[in-house]
Amino acid sequence: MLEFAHILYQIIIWLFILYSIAVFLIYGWIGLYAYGAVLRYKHENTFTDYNLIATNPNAPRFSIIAPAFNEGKTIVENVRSLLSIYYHNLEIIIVNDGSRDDSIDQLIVAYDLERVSFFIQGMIPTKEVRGIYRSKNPAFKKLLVVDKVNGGKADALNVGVNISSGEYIVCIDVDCVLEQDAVLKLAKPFLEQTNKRVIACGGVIRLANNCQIENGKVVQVNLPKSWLGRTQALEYIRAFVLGRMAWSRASGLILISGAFGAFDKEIVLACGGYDSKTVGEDMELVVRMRRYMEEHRLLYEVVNIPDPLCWTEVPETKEVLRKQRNRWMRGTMETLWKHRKLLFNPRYGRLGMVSMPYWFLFEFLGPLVEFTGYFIFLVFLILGIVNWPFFFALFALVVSSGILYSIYAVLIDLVGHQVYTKSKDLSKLIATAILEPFYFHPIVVKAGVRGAVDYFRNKHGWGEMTRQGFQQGMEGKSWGQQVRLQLHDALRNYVPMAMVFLLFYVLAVGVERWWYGYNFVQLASFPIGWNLFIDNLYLGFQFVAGGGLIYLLLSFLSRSFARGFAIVYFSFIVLMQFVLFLYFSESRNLLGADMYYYSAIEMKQILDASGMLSWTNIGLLISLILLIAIPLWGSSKWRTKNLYVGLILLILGVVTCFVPLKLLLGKSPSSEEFVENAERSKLRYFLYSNVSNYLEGHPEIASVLGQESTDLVGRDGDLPFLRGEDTKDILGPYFNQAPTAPNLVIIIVEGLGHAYSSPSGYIGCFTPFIDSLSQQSLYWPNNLSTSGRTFSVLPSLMGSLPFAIHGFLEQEVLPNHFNLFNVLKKNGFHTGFYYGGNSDFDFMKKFMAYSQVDTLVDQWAFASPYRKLPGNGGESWGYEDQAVFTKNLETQKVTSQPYLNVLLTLSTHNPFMINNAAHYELMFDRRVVQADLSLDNKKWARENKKQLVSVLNLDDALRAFFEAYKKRPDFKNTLFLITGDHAMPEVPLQSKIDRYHVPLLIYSPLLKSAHTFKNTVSHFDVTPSLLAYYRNNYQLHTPEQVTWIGRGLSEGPSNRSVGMAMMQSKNQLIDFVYGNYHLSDGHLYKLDAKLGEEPLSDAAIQEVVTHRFDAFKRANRIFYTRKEVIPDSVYAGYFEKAISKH
Amino acid sequence: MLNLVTLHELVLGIIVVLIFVLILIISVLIFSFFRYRSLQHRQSWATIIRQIITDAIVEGTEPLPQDTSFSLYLKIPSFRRYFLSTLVSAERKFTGKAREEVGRLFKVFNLEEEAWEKMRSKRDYLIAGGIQELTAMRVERALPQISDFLKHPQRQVYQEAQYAIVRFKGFEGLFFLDELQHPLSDWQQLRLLRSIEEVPDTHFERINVWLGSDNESVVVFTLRLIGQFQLLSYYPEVLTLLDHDVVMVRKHAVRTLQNLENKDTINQLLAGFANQCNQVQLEILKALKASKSKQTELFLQEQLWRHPDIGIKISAAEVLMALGGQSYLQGIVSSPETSSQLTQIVNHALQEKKC
Repeated sequence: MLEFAHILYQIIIWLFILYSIAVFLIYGWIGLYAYGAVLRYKHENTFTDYNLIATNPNAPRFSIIAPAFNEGKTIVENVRSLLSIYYHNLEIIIVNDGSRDDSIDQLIVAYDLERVSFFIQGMIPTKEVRGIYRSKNPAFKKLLVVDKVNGGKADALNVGVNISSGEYIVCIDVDCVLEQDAVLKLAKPFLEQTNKRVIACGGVIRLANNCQIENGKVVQVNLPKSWLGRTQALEYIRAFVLGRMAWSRASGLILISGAFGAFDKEIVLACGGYDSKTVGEDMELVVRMRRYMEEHRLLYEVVNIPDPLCWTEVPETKEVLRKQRNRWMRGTMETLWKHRKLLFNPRYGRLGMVSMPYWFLFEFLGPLVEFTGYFIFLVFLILGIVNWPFFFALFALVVSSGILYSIYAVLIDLVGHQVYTKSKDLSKLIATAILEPFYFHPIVVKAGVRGAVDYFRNKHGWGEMTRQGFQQGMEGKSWGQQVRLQLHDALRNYVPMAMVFLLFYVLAVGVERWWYGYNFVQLASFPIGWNLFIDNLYLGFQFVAGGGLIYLLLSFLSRSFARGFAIVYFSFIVLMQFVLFLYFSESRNLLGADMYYYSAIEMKQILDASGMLSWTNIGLLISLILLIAIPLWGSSKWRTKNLYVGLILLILGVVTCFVPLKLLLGKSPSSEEFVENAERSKLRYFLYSNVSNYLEGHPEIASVLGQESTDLVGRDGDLPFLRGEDTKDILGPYFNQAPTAPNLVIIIVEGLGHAYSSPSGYIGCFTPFIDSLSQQSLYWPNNLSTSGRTFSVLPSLMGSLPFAIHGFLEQEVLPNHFNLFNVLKKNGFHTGFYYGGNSDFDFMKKFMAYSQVDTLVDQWAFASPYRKLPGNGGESWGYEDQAVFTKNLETQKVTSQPYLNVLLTLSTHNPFMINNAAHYELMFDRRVVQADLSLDNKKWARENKKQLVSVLNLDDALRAFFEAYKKRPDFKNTLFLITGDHAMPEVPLQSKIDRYHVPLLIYSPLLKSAHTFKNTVSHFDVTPSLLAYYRNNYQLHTPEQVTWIGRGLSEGPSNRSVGMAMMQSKNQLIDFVYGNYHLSDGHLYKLDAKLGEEPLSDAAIQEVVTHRFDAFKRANRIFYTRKEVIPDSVYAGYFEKAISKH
Repeated sequence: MLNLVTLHELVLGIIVVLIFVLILIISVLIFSFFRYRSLQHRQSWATIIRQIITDAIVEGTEPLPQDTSFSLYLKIPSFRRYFLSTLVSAERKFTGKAREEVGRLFKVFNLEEEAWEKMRSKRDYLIAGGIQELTAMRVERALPQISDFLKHPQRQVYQEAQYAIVRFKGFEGLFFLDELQHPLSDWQQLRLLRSIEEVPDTHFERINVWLGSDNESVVVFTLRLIGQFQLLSYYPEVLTLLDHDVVMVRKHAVRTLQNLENKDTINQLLAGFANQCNQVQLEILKALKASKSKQTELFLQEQLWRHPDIGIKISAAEVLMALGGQSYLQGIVSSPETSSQLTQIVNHALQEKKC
């Protein structure tokens, strides 16, 4: 998990760096390209004589359209300014857009207007025109004033377009001050067109704030007084002189400012004029015009000229500025959304492949990416993972790049247009460039983000409006029709969320596959992607369909509640997808319902020790939730145009429930359990595990569903595991007779699998001491643990006890039973349990308390100088193995009283962090190089270095323990039993049996000779054999009636036994070994002499083994149901004591 | 990629780029400073040059060749270039004696070499600038070299060469139209037309070739030329162009016919009216308006009542109004049987006050 967090951290950093590089490159290109464009324009127009068209009656007609809304204070002066424009064939149309002030009256008086009949030829739909006025004074014959009902700027412009008689229209804001030669300069590109039609032309807009204006003309240019104004002056230079010139030269310009731009009227009319529903009507019109030209395969140009032709007032208060930028962002988003078809669409040439993607990636996403950057920085800051040198270097680079771009813009402006020529103004502009990133930029970024949020809100606050409309539409409808309409609307509303979910879900699956390839070398070569994808996609469709049905039902209660449900539902699924595959990646186990069988404290300890409960991961989790939930929330406001997609999704969901997944799944590339599990949907497993677990606990529901479990069958009154003690003493012949009963030390090594503790293991031997000891011991290489986790090792090994439902120790009250502790204690042994961690975990303490163990040592008994294992974020499982062994040596005094001590290690537990890691890593490296390992062994070893390093540490601790023990007088009269609780799932399992394949050895100085047993045995067999040994050789009194699952080490799970069941996890009783056959989750395998296994297809054998397994489960169920394993009388008879029944 | 670069290397990389950016900032600032200085110089030069030109025009005196400070300026190449461009700009503004004085300054200060140097350059804009300067200063010796630029691949250069040739040679300079492949923009056409002062009568064949050119912009230009110089003898050829494939040509043909109007023109325009597209029909109606021929009234009334296009109806009503058909139009308005659309159209033409 930490590794994943680290990679995620790197990915985030790299994404931002790549985005920054892209920004850097694009603005670098804009700067250079604009320079060329400005120079070219300057050179081409050095001696241009505009008189050529100024008074020429054959020059094309231009119509200036100026919408006005409540401009009464300045409108007369503004119109006077327009009337002074130098162009003969000109028409000036003032559109009074339903002003509530006296604008129209002032115009009538000032220009001697009279109302005239006017037939409006244009066909663009607009609000009603109240009247059209012309001046009676021939001096104002160019003027046409339109009075109309208020409909917004775009609507007013459309009225102007409808009325205009010019071949070209010039749309301006009425409060703009135009240069007198503005139309002349705009006209030139239109007149110069040859094979490419110029459809729109814009000029540079400059700031009128603080400029001296006389008679509608700018007579003295000054920079605005406020910093806000100056920054916008700088911004306008950047935008118009650099940005638009570069895009114009590259034929990629899609924005002609609404404040001043000229358009080919024929194309405007063909496109349907301005869109009055958008706030970004200027950009939208240009995009639509370009789209029209592209779709009709017509050659065209959109041109920008760098001459400053128009002067406008910009906001000098933050509030107005924010509103303006908010509007710009919404306008951009509306246009991008409306013309989304163009994005990356090669059919639209540069428009689709360059301009639109640029606007999407940089103009629209720019503020959002920057804002996300601030947020992520804050998260990193809180998590304390900010790399300050990196941060400051990048920050300085970003800021200085911005400053460079601004100063460069000032320079280009100086080269081209020389608007600000006073040295004082230039100095102020440069100072502004330096201050802007800290003062102005955050304001516009915030306003942009706010605009994006408002876009969703408004457009989809429009959702509310639609809903009202929908409700209104319900009036007069029958109940059935209302339901149909409601479902229809709700489904259309659900689809965008479902699509966003599927996108994220598939993305998560992609990340999962990538992560496996990145993290596990052995998976990188296996083609598991298809099965993983199909399995998850199947499930994804099922989730969509299931969620859709709930959504449709909830929508009858409240649409917003239903949306809330969908957002939470989908976010949770995607989140779980991440959590589950990361869990699998960390533990190599599939997470199922077994998680419920750990208490809250245990869970916390697991999470603490694994390092998952770190602030980093919590931060990641929150970020992930936001990353998923925000787009879902955004999409919750949308609707599809029709029902088809929704219906297809629902049908797919239903189909996937009935069409067997196996039909689509490819053959698994490997029989290795790890590979098989890797290509499974972790989420599907989790859900199925939970459902089956629930049904198991609720047989009444299972029976309703026709899933009555066979293990419910049993006869009341039976104690199925009770039998007479008849275990053979297999051990006695191998030992010399001691004068007194020998001490017994049982060492249970966490995660000690056969694969890496034996030279014959598929990874090779990484326990040189244990290996050497096994040569001097009674050694069972084919030994099996009884579970895939630690929870059952104590009851199985120490009591040969059944599992109950979720493990013997999970039972609320432990039923009376015999075990090695209480039987040996009854025979005078001192008993002890040593563990470096918290013995409450897996209810070990409860077991010790029940068995009245004399000495219980767990993490609370340790103090300095014992060392804890290093942990993630300071938390670890507990004390290192060296500490446990030393503590045992220290605690267990040499006495005449025999003793039984059980030591459980934990250094080899995930996350495999040990003290003195460097030393053991060196040892590991040396071993990989020097030891007699095959190439395959070495490959496996390197892939699992962390785990194997911890194994070497354990082995070394064990060696030290034995060396110390040898010095004690009681050593010669002690039996040492060493085994593993299960194999590490974190080390890839080659076959399903490998999970349980652990070594078992008994060493003692009393041993006559070493011997290796080839038969398969299990932990169930240990206690029966040990007690048989003590009973036969030292006349210890053991129970005559027992409930051992195992038949002793001589038998193992042979045909004579009832077979041997194994729990993979606390809710998975799916493995069973009987004779040489292994039944795992319904699949039969044949075991060989080394516990290797191959799939076997033999119905007869499968039936026998399944029958045995069912019998075992039935017996287990009866035991659990009765909560009694042996009769109280037998128990009491042995211990000669009263029985306290709970 | 994650493993290719360590964080330390990344930081180093960023710092290197940062240093590069800082160097660029300093460079841009220095360049801006020099650019500003240069602008300041230009402003002071502009004052000096303006004074020289004013003195030359007003007093007609020898402009102080012995002035030592001005002589020093003249040794600065950028000053000479600026001086030359100012003279060219001034040449546009003046006529007659004043213009001659400007030309004299050009010769006195031997600025011709600057222009030649520009024309010899490989940069398009410099070549175009050189052509402009030599043309403005009427250096006829440059004509052969300028003619060579007619085939230059860059638009800016060949357009300036076209303009220069016509400025020097008038109508004769239009020979390049014979083989012109590039379209002539409206802007270029207006420039050329303005530079032609007369069309000799001896070029019948040449104009006919242009009227039949595959380059439609050449045809349009020729029509404009015919219209501008009232070349009546080309009337039949222009009339045939009413059947040209290109709408723009037909529109200009109508305009030209209107310029060359004779007694048959109206009937010829009316005869072809029905076969033309709306744009050409509108052009014909404009011609009728200009002709003020009463014989078209019936035709116009027919169009007002019957034509399906509103634009044509409006135009027909406006022509009727221009031809004095106010009473007829008022009659239409006052008739209760007139449709509201037609009433509005006619009212539009009548431009009646509503209140």
